[in-house]
Amino acid sequence: MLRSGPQVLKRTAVSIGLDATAAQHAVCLQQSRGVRPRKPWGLGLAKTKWFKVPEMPQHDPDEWEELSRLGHRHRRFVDSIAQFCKEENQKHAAGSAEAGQKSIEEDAEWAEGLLRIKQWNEEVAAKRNERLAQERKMKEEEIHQRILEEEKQQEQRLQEIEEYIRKEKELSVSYITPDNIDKTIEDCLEKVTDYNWAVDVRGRKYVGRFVTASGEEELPDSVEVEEESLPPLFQSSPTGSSSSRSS
Amino acid sequence: MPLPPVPASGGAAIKEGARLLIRFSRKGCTNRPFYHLQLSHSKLELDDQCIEQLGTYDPLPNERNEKLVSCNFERIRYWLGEGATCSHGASVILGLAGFFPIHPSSYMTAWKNRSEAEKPEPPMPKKLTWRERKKILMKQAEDARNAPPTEDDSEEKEKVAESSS
Repeated sequence: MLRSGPQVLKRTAVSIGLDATAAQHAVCLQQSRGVRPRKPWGLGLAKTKWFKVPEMPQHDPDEWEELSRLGHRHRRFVDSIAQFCKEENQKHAAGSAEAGQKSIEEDAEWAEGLLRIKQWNEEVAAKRNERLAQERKMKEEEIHQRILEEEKQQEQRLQEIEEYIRKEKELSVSYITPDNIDKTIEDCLEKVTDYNWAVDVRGRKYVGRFVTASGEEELPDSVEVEEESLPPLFQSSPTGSSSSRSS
Repeated sequence: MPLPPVPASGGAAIKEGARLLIRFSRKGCTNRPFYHLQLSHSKLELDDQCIEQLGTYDPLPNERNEKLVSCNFERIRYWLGEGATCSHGASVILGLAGFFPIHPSSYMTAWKNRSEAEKPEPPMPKKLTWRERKKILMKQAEDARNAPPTEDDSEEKEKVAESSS
């Protein structure tokens, strides 16, 4: 049907007298979203389900009986309540003396309720005021405590700053200033420090270069260092050190 | 254009000959159910405008583990007198509130809950780790190896010896 749809449409359109193409009417043949395709009703029961006997719900007979009894009872009660309400409505509509009496009673009850609510409000207000006063007192104490803490912290901060200034003043003696810059430069030029030296495992210090700037080979001077004065990483084993000492 | 929301307090006209029904209609949002107890015609949709709102019901328990229900009993009495009937859920709640007798389905739920509470709890099987399982299997194998030979085994051995000789 779907395949032959456009032709059918075209045929019907031609028979009606419209000059419409199938493409314009293809919208009608689109399946709308969200609609589940159903089995055609004419197919009947599936073959596999012909001899299937559905399981019937099993009830406990005693429970069933009890429930039905309760249901009847409930229905009777509800009906009687509805009947009572109906009679009440009728009485109210007629404006009977009983209804008037009832309204007076209700008014009295209402007034009493209001009075009780007023008393209750007063009790609650007293409790609330007490609680609020307590909370205010607690808050004041907390604020006072925080002020004290803040003062203490401020003092500590000032002390730290003073300490820092004192150290800086001590260090400022060795600073290079415009007054002593020439002297410092001269000193530096006089005393050349060569950091190009190495240390071997025994801690011997080799100063200088193996090849000089002019291309001549130069053996470095070694400086003997006492082994015990070295850090433990550079010390040899205790036996080795003792043997070296004896030799 | 979306229609303006209908007032939840009701105000719909009463049709003649229609059945009046006191029922709950869901007014919450997704994952937050909230119900209005309302009077409307039985044929109307739940989100249509009702005739009168008669109460509320919050099925989610609050911080004190209470499900709050409010009912305007005066108006419920009036509408019952006018011939209104209650839906199943409304009669259950009104029964628990003490306005109606307890509904049979409440009794049924209570029986079920009680019988389930009286049942002894089945012991939870402990889930073993692979290490524990391995340990148990090793021990079983060890026991099987160290076990003294049973009579069947000895008989079999004798049989084997006879057949070989």
